[in-house]
Amino acid sequence: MKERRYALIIVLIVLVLSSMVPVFSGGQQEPVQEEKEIELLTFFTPDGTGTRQVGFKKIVDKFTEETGIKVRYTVVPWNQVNTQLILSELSGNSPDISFVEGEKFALHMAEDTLRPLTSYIKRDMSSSDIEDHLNWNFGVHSDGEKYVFPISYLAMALFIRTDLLEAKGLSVPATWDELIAVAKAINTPTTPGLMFPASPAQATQLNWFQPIVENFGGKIIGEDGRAIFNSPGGVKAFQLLRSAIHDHKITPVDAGSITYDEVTDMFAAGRIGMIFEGSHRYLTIASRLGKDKITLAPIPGKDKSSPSPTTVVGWTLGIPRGSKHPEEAWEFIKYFNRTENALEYAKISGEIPFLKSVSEDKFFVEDASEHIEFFVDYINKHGISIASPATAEELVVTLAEAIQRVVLEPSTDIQVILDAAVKEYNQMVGLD
Amino acid sequence: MKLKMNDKYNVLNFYSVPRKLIRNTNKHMFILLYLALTLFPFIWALSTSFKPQSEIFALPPTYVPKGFTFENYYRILIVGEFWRYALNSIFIASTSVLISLLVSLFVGYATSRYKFIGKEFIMFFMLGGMAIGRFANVIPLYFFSTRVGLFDTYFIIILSSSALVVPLLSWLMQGYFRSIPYELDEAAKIDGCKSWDIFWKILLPSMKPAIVAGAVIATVNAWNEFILAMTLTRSPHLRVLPVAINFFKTELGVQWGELTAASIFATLPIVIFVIPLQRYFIQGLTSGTLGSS
Repeated sequence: MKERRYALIIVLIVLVLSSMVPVFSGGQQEPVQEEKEIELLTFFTPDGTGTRQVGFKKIVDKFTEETGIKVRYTVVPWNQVNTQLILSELSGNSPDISFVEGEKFALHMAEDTLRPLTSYIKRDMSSSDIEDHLNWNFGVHSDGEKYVFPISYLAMALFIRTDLLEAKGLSVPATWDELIAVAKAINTPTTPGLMFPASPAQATQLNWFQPIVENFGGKIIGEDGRAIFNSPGGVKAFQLLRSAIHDHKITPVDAGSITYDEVTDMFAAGRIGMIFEGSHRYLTIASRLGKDKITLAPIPGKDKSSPSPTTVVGWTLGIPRGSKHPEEAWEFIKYFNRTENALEYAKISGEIPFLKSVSEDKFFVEDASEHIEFFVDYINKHGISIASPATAEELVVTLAEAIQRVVLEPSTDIQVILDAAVKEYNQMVGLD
Repeated sequence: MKLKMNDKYNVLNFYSVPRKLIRNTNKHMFILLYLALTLFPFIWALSTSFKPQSEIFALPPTYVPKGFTFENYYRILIVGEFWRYALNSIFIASTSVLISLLVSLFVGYATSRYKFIGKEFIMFFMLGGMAIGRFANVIPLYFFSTRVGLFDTYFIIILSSSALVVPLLSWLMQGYFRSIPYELDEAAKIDGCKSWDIFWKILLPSMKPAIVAGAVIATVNAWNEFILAMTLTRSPHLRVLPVAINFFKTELGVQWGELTAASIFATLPIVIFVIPLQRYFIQGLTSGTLGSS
């Protein structure tokens, strides 16, 4: 009898636990209402207070109001969006529409996660709509199909502490020699003149280092996809970083172990003179440091007439292959691409707009948005695509490790380090 | 001649006092150093959690916040939904502990008290499974959960975190069961007890230290679950504390104030839970080890 009683208790426990599943889950519940709804995979939270999230939510709300199509957010951390999209596509659990990181576009092409949008574009967009895009080819694959539409652009620049510059009566550096001179002048034991993140722990080096390599006449990868940053131009770019630390003493050797986030935080706290930084962090830094203390400048170059280019990347919207509501998802992309909506988003978010008509709006030529004006101008004159093969993750980690070795091993020949790094990458991705 | 240690005229005693003192001092110094090394990050995080944004990266750094503020805690607890995430973590951890303890007690009992073919193989097979590691399990679990309709549910996190800790607990329980004399079972059998009663009434009360040790291990395992919880769920209402904390690492930078406040908030329950059980925990681990050897 007692045995039966205990067995009954265990069965009851199991039953109670099982019954909790549907109560506490919810992810599998079908919506009761018959209204149209699309699932958006994003890293923006609907109740987020950041400018981008507020701006995006406003467009989403307007879209729902006008079309009756609801947008359900599925929020993952920003660095998980690409992985989650690929995983959900492979498991047949795709969202209807998704954020896609511009730098990972080739990866998604290799994984075949996205639907081509050309047929929708031909049906619903005019040639003037297409011409209005700052860079229509952003998101166009080698098959000629367009797969994604940008939400905004992100470009790199040199961020300089205005107050430090003015205190020494210096002007904005335009060449590498000037950069070193300015950094030396403002350098103190507690405030390095120049800082860059060389830690592979947060591999973002392509964004700021590719412009420097290209300015010296080098390339990160060749036409065939092989890494070629060990060219003479590449060696000069790496030498610049090493000499900043070991010859000119304008950058502390800590750069070798410091991450991108740490550099941003230190600059925003007023502890660095100059950094290479992205447009997307301008408002965050300005809110902590003050706009009046930040001067934006193109990344310097070999001579005054040719500054380094700036890498242009950005978050985009794409429709996964497994989308259950592709028409509704396209409706949202189309809606977001309307001039008035793109303008509203850009105004609220403080990000670089993707439409010419928006960037030419009077709002962006006023003082309040002079950073947008600066970046649009820089992109138009010197914008380049970032090196983003399907193996971009491996490429950036290899590059980051090479930078770290160059700055932390001053007695090792740079050419030797770069040859080893290039060989390692090319072998890793099966190109050697 | 044999010298006595407590002899006041003994020459050995003269040297042994300072030697003992030095040994004790060294031991205490080592413990203090170890404490400082392990506690410093926690104290630094605690200090950061009460600092305003402007002070977090100030140079020279402030160890005691100058602009002491509860703003970060206000943001996570009042504005944010950290109470909800804490409840999720409590629910998942407690259910996972119950399941993994129940299963591992049965496994430990069966393998320590019964002889059957493949017993050793099963135990080593379970142990071998632990060597695969949870990162390697994430993708198969993802596909499994989507196929069987458990994706984005509490159940899949509870199930997977329990499954990952059961092998370790089974070995712990087996070791502890072995340390309990078999004569107890025999005496109970003579008194008319059946296996079920021997398990619940005779052995289980003696297993208290092992159960506590197992509960602590399973709780810490489930409480700190990150990679599985992040991959196998999507809905914000299913988020657990470690996943929610990860959201403070944004594309625009790390929100250190909120992140440290949330980390302190997430650490406290586990500290409160483990400290009173420390004695049983050590007893459970050591007795089990001795028993199985």
